[in-house]
Amino acid sequence: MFLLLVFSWVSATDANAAPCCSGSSAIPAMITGDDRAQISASFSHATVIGDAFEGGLPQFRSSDQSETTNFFRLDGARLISDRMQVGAGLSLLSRQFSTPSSHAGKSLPGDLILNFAYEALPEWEYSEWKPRGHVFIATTIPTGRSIYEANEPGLIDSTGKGFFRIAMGAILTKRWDLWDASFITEIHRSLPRTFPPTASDPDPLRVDAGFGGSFALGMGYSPGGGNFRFGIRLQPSFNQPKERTTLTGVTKSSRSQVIDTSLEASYLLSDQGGGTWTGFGNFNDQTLIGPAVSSTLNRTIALGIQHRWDR
Amino acid sequence: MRLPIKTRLFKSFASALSFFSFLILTACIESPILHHADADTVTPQAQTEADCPLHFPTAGLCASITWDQMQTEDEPGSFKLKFWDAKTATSDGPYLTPENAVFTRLMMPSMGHGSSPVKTEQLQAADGSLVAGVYHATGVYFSMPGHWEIWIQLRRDRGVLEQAKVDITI
Ligand SMILES: [Cu+2]
Repeated sequence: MFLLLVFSWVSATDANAAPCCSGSSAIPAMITGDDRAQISASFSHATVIGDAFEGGLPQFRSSDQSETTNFFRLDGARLISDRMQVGAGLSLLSRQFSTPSSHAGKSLPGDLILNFAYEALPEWEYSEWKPRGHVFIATTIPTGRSIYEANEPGLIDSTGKGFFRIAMGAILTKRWDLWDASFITEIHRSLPRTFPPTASDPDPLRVDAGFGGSFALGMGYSPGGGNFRFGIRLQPSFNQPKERTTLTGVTKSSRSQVIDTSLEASYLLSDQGGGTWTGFGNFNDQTLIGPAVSSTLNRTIALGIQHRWDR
Repeated sequence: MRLPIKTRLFKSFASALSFFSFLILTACIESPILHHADADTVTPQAQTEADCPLHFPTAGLCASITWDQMQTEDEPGSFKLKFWDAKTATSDGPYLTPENAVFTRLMMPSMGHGSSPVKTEQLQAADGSLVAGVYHATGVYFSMPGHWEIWIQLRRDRGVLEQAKVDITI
């Protein structure tokens, strides 16, 4: 039963990295069970449903145009000691913008995430209430093209945040017979960066995206303790205003906020030879719960497979 | 008396569930899916006319934007940009070509990003001659809905001498 739990933060993390400028959780996939290593591959498809502004009502996009992003993502993590682990995640993004009479698309790498985690609260003996806890540090390397470097109409060639980012956080997980619960929190700081002139803006630009953070509350249930697990998760994310400095002055954007609601399902495909294979599917929606501020609103479907090696 | 373990577990789950429902219900007050506008019902709104919509005090110029075509789903928009002497002329002319290069930049202030490049060229008459003080901006494409700024810059040596903006909601 313990093997069932795929804590895949793949969809939530990436859905936010999608178009434009919303806050992102930057939580990497980590080993939270009794495994030595894990690797997962996933495909997700995100659709922009609408846009939320600083004030006033969010606006939903017209139904005859579509802005979508496909993510192909690989995540891996392995223990380097009894309680320490390292991990990495990399994605390829394929972005599309379509109307009844036109189509534009672009595929580029996304950002690279590297992380280190320490099991601060191990579960050495059974407790009814005491959770298992990990703390982590994750860095985002801006290998994707940022919105400040994008040049194509609709900026569909922007596939990354554009900043080196350092995130620190904690994950608490608790499993009972059929149920499980998790709490994840993370705070991140994007390092200021100067972008070179582009065709749309011939002046050098320095952007300081400041601090951001998110927390997630999740619950899962495994009917009859079998191979299925279903889960639900809520994850609000916040970001401070971005400060732009050019030769003509300093301007500040609005803060941003978005709340992800996720439904998760996973199935233990096989459990033999010292490892497990698990298939998972997630549905993630940013339009269900508000308020959303200064962010695009996406719906994302993710499918993936994960292999784990027993300890 | 201690309750059986299963009952206690059930109780803690019931309270966790009700906490979840409470969260969802209270947050739903501003649920985007329940409270939003549709793009089809929103028309782009440019700023209202003024005597000097774009003011360049150092150059002593005013300018205005007249849309040839607002962006559609399929095509970028284009506009005419007319400059006149702030003291001696009006928006009806005579028009005056600025001494410096003219550049157009789009900006979404709430999110702090721009859009794809806009091409700004002095307008050519049918005989190929340049029309004094009138520019043609093409490829004007706002990458997402929301409030945008159109910045008109007078530039020299890769630097901005002066700039002014008009606001538009897409
Ligand atoms: Cu934007």
